[in-house]
Amino acid sequence: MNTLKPIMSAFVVGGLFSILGQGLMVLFISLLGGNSPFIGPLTLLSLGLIGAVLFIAGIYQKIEKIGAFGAILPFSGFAAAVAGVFAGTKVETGSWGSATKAAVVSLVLYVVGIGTIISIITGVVAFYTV
Amino acid sequence: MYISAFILGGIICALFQVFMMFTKLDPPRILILGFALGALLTPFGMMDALGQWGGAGLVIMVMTAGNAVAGATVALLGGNPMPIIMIFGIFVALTIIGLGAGFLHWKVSKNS
Repeated sequence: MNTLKPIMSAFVVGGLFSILGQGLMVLFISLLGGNSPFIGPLTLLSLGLIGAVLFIAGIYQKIEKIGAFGAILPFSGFAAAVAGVFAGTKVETGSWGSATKAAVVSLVLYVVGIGTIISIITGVVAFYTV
Repeated sequence: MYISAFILGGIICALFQVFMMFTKLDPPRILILGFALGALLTPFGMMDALGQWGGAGLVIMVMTAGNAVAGATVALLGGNPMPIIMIFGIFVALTIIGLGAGFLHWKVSKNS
């Protein structure tokens, strides 16, 4: 029971964010047309903004506590994670410099950097083989 | 579409939750794995197939980043630099949004 509960809540929270994302996509498709290359980027940025607003209000932290990966995997979680590390390190160290370094270097550059390198290698391999 | 988005998004998050519970890796490392997984599934057409079925259930997840970078690399090698510029622009924007939110949250909680 203890293992099943967090899995179920990740499922429900992740699913609800997906419905929200689907609504945003439908909205942007109706505004820009189905073939616009900006549908995906606008959806992700809007979700990031929603995550940021909820984080400022202290609500995203509560969603994360319940939904764990259901709240971390969507892009709203990316913005909230940056915000969390930034604010948390500022409270711990009292320094904006360390807070910026922790959020930008240890989180964003670490995750996006390694992720990007792997993805670029995959892209190059795919370009020359598939 | 809303129902399949809910199901696919839910399943992806549940699988990552299970993965974390068994491996005990910290979330940033699992995000890197999700990022890489999105890239690795791209050449086989898996991401397109999943996206066509589950829509935003896939699009809003971190795997999209890997998928987008891998796809943009192919476009770049084909002579089109726009997708990769747009993707890094989104990362920068999301980081700035996050920093802004962290700052405002700090200010709000300091005053209360």
